Amino acid sequence: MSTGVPSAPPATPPAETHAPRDPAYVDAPTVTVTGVSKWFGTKVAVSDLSCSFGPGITGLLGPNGAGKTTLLRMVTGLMRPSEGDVRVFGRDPLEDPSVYARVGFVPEDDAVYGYLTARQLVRYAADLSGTDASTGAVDGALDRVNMLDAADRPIGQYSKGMRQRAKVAAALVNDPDLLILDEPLNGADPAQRAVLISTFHELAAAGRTLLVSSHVLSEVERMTDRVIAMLDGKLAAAGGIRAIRSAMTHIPHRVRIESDNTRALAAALIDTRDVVGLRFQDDGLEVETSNLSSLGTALPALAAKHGVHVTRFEPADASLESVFRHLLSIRR
Amino acid sequence: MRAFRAIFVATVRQLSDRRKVMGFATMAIAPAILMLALSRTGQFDGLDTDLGMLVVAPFLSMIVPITALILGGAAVGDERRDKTLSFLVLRPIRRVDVVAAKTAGAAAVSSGFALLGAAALVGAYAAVGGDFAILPALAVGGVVVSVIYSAIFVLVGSMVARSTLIGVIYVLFIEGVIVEEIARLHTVSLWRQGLGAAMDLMPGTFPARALLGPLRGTVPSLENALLLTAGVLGVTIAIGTLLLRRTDSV
Repeated sequence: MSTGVPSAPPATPPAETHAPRDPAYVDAPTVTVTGVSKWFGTKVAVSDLSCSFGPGITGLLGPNGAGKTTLLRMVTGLMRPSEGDVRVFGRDPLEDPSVYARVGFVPEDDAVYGYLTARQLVRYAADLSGTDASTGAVDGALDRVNMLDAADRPIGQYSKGMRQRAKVAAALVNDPDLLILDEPLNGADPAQRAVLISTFHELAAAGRTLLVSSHVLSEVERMTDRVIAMLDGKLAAAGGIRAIRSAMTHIPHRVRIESDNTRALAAALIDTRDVVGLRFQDDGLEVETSNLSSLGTALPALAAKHGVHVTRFEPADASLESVFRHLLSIRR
Repeated sequence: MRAFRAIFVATVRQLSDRRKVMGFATMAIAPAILMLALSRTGQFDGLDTDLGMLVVAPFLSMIVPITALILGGAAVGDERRDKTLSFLVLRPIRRVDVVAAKTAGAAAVSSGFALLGAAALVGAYAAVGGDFAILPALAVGGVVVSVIYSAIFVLVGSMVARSTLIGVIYVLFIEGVIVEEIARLHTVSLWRQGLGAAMDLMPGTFPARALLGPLRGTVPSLENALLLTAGVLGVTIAIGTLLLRRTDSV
């Protein structure tokens, strides 16, 4: 499948000297995925995927069945690649479980021990990770997700959002350098989401690597600018959201333009070669253009020539949701 | 060791919630209640061989194996069903420790119910004219059967969802009917190992001749039972570890 966005990645990470660097890779990778494929019988879940993840938050996006969870399971070592190689801190997690001392994982499934309290769950995680629970690590992790007050109630009595936070607390207790979160905001109410997103930002600011899979695009957008988008098991796009959109040159860009004379501006724009579509929307115009930068350059002179004062010029489709919609339309 | 202890404690907690304790405790003391009920009907003529059969056979051939296979199957099987297994395996610990701790936890809880059942049986036996001297034999036999079935069904439960059904069919049909008919299979019959250990330790006063029937050619031997138990533990933990390392099904 060709997307027109950053080209299919090479089987091996690019050399340091490559310029410009392939956006699927980062400079100081915590996780490196090289030519990884995974198939189940005749069904290919992930196909020859290469990318890397480093400090900060990376959003892993894709519709159901895109291969996100399979990729995360291979990164965590829960699943063995059919082909290719996954390295976490330079080591193969399947062969060297010591890497897990630096990893925290929040699975998508509502997988918690309902008979434990949140405090017991986090303490259990500390014991399994070799973390000294007497140092306040347990309370610290619970406090981080704002759960100290409810920590001594059985998890079975929690709402889904609280169970999510308990899982995140358990993943944080060993102070991991790499945190892998599969749909961490599922079931969380807005306040709980705010707490979790704030926690993720703090961790990213502290230099930790966070890999977040989510279908709630607006939340991913609040968390990070760097995304890895997957479609049908392949890398569809990687990098910053605006950069990905800009690279999709075969799809007209939509911009919103507001001015003091909408109709006069529309008449002027319609004769412009770069404009391929135009419609009135509220008090402004939504313009489809084949060349965003050219339109941006020409607009001031065009407006001046027709005596129109432009008050607003902004991309209308550079949101993550728009980018994602474009990616999906490519597949269709 | 800390991780092993944590998984062991969590497994004991997992397998001993109130519902399970009530159910398995009732099952464990059922032979004792049956013995007391039958003794009131005047069926026994003193401490005869029927009584010996009633004390030991159903307890070691059915109650303890079924309890152990259900609990063993749940130890890892429930984690797989509830998708909590990743919580255990994505840790800086050896997977053999995970499997060994789960097996130890299941065996401990199963043995607890076996010991409860043995104590109840011995109490009932004393109440109908016997004595308490058979307690060590019955306890050891119960623990041997518990450990063997727990270990095997921790493994079975980690591979298939219907381990309890498979186990019950195995105990009632394979062990109860097929092995019963084919004498040379008796030496590898699992619950007969526990029975052999119990018979080896039984005081001479116990009316046990009839129990040699189910044992057929098997020589009652605590040593053999312990050797087989150790072998089963070693093999099942090794296979379980391999499965946990090699499969994608966590």
